[in-house]
Amino acid sequence: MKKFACFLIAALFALTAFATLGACGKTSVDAEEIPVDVNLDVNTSATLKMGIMDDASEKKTAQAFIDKFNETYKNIKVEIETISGDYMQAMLSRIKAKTVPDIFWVGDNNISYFAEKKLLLNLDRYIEAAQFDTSAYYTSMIKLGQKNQNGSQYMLPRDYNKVVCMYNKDLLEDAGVTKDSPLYPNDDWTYEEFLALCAHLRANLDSSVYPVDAMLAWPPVFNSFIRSFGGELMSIDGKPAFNTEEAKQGMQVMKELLDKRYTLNPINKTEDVFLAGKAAMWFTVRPSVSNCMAANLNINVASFPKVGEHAYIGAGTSGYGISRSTSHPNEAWALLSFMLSRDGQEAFSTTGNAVPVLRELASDEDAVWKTIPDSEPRFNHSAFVKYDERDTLKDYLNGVDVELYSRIDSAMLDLLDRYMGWTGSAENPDTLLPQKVKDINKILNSN
Amino acid sequence: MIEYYTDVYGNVRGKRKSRNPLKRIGGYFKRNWVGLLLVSPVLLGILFFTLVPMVSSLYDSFFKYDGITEHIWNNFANFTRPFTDDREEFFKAISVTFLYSIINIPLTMVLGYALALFLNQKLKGIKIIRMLYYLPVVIPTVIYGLLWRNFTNLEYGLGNQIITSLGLKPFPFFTSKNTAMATLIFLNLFGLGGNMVLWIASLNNIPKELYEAAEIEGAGWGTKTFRITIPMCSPMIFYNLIMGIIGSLQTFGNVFVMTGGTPGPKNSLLFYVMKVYYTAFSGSPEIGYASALSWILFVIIGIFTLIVFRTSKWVFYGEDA
Repeated sequence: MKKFACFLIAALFALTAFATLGACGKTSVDAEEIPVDVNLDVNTSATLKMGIMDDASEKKTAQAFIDKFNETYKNIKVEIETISGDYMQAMLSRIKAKTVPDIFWVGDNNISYFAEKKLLLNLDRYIEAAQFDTSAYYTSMIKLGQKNQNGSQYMLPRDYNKVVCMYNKDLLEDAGVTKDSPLYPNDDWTYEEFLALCAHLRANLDSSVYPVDAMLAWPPVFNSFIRSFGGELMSIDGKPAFNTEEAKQGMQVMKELLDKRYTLNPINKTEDVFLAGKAAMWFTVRPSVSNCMAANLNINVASFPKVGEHAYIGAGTSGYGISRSTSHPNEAWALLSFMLSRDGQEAFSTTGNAVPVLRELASDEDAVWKTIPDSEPRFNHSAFVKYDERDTLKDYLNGVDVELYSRIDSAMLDLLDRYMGWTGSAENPDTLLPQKVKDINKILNSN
Repeated sequence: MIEYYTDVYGNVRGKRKSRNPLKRIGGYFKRNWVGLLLVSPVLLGILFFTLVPMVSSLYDSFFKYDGITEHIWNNFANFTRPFTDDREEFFKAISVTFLYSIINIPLTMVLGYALALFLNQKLKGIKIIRMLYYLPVVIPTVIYGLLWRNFTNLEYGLGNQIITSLGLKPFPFFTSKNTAMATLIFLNLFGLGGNMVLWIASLNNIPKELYEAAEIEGAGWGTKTFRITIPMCSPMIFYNLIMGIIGSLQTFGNVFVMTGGTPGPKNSLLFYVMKVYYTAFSGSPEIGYASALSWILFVIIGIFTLIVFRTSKWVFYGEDA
């Protein structure tokens, strides 16, 4: 009986191992090998799956694109597949299960990783064949769709998101700052003017209300502060570069915002304090407008203040890419390129939460996106598109091996934490910075 | 060789055993098909939802594997990395997890006992008080975590609103490395109800005659506690100890929710399973290394459980056991 039990257990393990190994394997279709056809017949019939985040506004956006697309390609059925939970993880599970959607939403943070892992289709062949004019779009956003922001195109951006300074007009008024006051936020304000307003708000508002939620742990903000003073976190060849006077200056300026209690400690933030009426200003992007309207806040926006010598403004985007394992890359391209056409961008604009990436539409005074929020006819929409020459991107990972992205990102936050004292006392920069250079080099050498 | 078995009518039957293993398996299934059919949902569940992932993770642990691209053979590198390149973070996770376990397990057992003694009295409304103490146990981990997360918010949480209204300085709770662990252990005490119920059940099972006899002999409170109560409750203590060790070493959900998915200030709440999670599910996942870390934890838990079992002579299972 003992022998038999052993035999049975061994058989069970063998079966398990067989099932495990059977689950492994490579994707059978490689869209790179399918001939490019950018002049698809309008009667082409196919079914595409479109992966998006499980979010009401994302569904609304995807549906707006699809409805307009189907006016031309009536026989290409596009099925929306919502992806719940951690988007990255859900995509990884789909890769394993060989159920990656044909075309899917992707944020600018994941492009290099997905490209390196051959999850996204290289779009260069399609761009060339279709003579797709990328110069019609914001250059910085197009770069965000490229591997390491300067290689092949893997994603086409759908919107243009830059950091602006949103402000609560009621709180400003409570502190005696009215439209005719020299302290009032404006698109051309300097950092000194911004600090003067913070000081005024600190002195004149309830102590529980912060002058600004500066989002110091958010890469578009901290990276732009450091770059504005001429510093950088990592060099283009992927080496730590923050141990310089310029980078220190950028970090010091952020630290002062915290030390003077102009902004809240990012580590303590568990809610959007601006939405809760606990901050008078907020460094944020266009998609936040709808949340503010839902919270019945009386808001407006101004451009990000001119910080340092270069006055950079953090910018980012999201868009769509084509799966490398799709059997319908040409149909997926038809949909993707449509999304960036004037018709597609107008359909997208009607959903209300974004600035279109197509320049002519972004700057058009009568564009639909400028009528939202329509409750405020004199809303300063221009702040969302002004000064695109000052755009700066999250570029400090470009020279780093994709396997180390999260560890380097985490190390950067640790550097800022210890420099500014988010979770303890601020450390002496003269000892902290060389130590962090050492730590990061160790991470870089570990791969 | 004859194999004897009982048929469905209770008759003892014998059958010559075949030397062919396939025939023997066939015979086994033929004789036991009813039983196997009844347990098949559980067997299949264990096979596909426990054994397959376990074998799969063991396989992955020997490879450099990110969950997307092909497996690259990595020898034992994933098992040596915690003691070389990743030593600092690995031992931080180990020390956080062990510190929590060492404090939390005895604390909850002792306080659970004290609470049970208090609530084991025959007082009016005692059942309602017991229910109130037990109530936090039935709240799902995520809800429980979110409630405490909001309560302990440094700026706007109810906890600090109460503290500051008393004229005291705000307490940093999870935002300082010095107070994060203490806060977590303190908040866990609100889940004492589970422990308390087991203690009450055990206390009520102790024959009253033992205490009466001890009192006649002049035994005091200490003697009765350490010579009667504790030994008579030792099977429950043993069970709690084993479950406590396993549960504490696998701490994850409640901390993850309470800290908003972060390992706390200066990694002060970087529990072992959280490290596994960050390794497996980060922006650049390392499934192979995370699998190896999981197997290391499996071995650690196995060793501790074995030690507790091997040193379990103190457990009293009754005169006949």
